[in-house]
Amino acid sequence: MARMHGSKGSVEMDSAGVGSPMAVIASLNQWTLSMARDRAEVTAFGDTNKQYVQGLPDIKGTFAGFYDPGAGSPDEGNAVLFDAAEGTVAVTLKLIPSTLDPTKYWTGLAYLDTAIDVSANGAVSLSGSFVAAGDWQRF
Amino acid sequence: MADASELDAAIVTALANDATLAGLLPDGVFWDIAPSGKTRFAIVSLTIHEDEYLFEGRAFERATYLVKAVDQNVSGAIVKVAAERIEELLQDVTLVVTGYTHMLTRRIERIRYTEVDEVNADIRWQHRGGRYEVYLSPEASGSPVGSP
Repeated sequence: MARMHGSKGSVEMDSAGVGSPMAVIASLNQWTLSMARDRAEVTAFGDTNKQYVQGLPDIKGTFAGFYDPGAGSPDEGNAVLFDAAEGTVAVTLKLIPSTLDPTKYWTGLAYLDTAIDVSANGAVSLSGSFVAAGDWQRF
Repeated sequence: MADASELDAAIVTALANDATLAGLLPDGVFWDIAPSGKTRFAIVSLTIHEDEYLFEGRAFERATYLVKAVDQNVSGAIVKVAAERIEELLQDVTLVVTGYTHMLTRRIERIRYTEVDEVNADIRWQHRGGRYEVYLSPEASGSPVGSP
């Protein structure tokens, strides 16, 4: 089994939320995905240690990169992230750890939040987060 | 693939083509080292060149250059004016660099010092200028760098 470097990661999105066509979001350099599950304690008398039962995963994550409004960019930039965050339609996200193996990814419907960071001492950057708006799948 | 050496050349060219600077520093503009015998010139040196990456390739490149006027003189009057002219030519001025979109050039440090000549201790060399930071974005930033 080969370990992977994140330099070939990718985030794709379908703004309509129907799953196709997916387009690569330009100028991103990070994404995270959390699949933490709820747990409820059910420790009872006589147990030798605490016990839990677990619920469903709470799918959420983040993305980050540089603001790219797309003017002159061959891949339309990443202003679509702001369109999605300001809209009401859940988008389809596809999160790929490495495009060297594009068959491995996570995908599902999501609602987005975005933020932009402008500093006199660096490039304009953007960041955002998402939560699941439907069932997610891992391939 | 964008060649960062084009930025080196663009800075040297921007300074070398300026008639005002040429009048102040008639021996010319040189990369790293001036030829022997020159006494009034400008030097451009690369201090550091860093790359910032995206998933798809290189987002931008950040280079820092030492750019200074040098004069064999006990007085700093000429290098003072020359350093001011260098700043006018570089600070917030768009550079045309093959393969890149220029983002920013600005001075991040001022330089001024006097050097004693290695051969003749009675001779002084005046150095004045600055370290300049340049941000560039490769024009094909949406394309992979190197082999996938």
